[in-house]
Amino acid sequence: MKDDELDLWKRYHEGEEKAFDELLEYYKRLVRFWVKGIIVKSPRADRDDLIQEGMIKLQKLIQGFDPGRGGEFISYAGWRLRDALLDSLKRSRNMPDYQYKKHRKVINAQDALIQRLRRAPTLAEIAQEAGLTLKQVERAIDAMSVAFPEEFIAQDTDLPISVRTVENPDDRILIGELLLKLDERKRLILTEYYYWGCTDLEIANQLGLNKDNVKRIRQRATEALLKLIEEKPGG
Amino acid sequence: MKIDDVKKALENAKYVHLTDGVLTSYRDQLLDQISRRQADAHLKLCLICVRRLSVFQEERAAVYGGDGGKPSAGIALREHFAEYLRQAVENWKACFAQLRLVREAIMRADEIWRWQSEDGVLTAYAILEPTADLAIRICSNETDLEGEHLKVRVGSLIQETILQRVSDLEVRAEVMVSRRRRPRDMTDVSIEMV
Repeated sequence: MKDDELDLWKRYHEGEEKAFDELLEYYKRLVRFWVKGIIVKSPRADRDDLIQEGMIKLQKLIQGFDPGRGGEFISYAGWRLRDALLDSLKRSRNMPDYQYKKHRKVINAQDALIQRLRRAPTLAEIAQEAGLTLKQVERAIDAMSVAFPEEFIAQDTDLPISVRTVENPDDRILIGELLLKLDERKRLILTEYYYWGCTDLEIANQLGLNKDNVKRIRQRATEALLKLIEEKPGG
Repeated sequence: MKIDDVKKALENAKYVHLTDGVLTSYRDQLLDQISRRQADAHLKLCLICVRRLSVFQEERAAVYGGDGGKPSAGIALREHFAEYLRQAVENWKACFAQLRLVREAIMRADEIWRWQSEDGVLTAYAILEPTADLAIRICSNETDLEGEHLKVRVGSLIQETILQRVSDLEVRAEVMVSRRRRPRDMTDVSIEMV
């Protein structure tokens, strides 16, 4: 946070009434940013209604934010504000259905290609897979953050990585949550091995361990994860 | 659930889209090193999440202007690191105040001192080289500290050194104290951020 922003929060928590209005004024740009993005994607939406809705939500977010817990207000408030605006848009039924279908196609195409190719697909490959033009894919990707955040799971969680198996999206396993329960070395070894495809030898060189040691730690870490899953209710 | 299912879930982990919470934390440098590396692995693959991240970066710029505002983590991290440096120096002094322990350490091994914070933000150690020169190394898993200047004083020797990136996960600074410049009183040491 910038110094003037921190000062506003300090004054607000000291009970200065004027500081609340100043915070609203400060973060009005956040409302404008998301309203502008949404209007571009949904031209039928009423700008003034959205601004009003956004300002009401902003008030609640300011009241609910505690800077003492660390983090920044916009990290906490930005996407929550956007979600509230989209909810309001859905209530007013101004979100065209065909847009949603197009976005869904692009996401499905990318996910399928990644699974099949085990690498990042190009735009052209996504377009071909989805049966859309390159321009349509570009527009869909561009609109995604603004228009369809519900596509990206676990919005209600602050977990660093929430993981489900891609082939079976309903069978959600919170590997990310469980990884956080392992010690740093185990987390690092699993990350390097599974996320980055490093070999045990490469990891060993990086950490100054020997290869067999890394392999043993990795196996133990996997077993520890299994145990954690089994301990979870319904695991 | 079997061990193979866990392995499969781990293999698939990098293909799963990042949540808004993760993306904004990534943007604001609030993720720890390992979570950031996991996010990087996905971002390398996914055009959609890269674009979503850039929208969040635009959001930040819309609120704070062109530079996007300096995240508070930078200041907090420096303060954090400075505090750990103080603790490390205290530990050094306590350790080298006992001459017997110093002699034993020198006889026993080439690494004669080590201190590490629990979160790994600071690891400091001293190595006695075969030439009897002393190497003091200051490392951190917070690569955002890259480029920070440190002033190290050992007796009358004062050296400025810089934390430099040695891998994706570590920055390190080093000071060499030759045998001749090694002080008689090894507790006469200070390390601080410039």
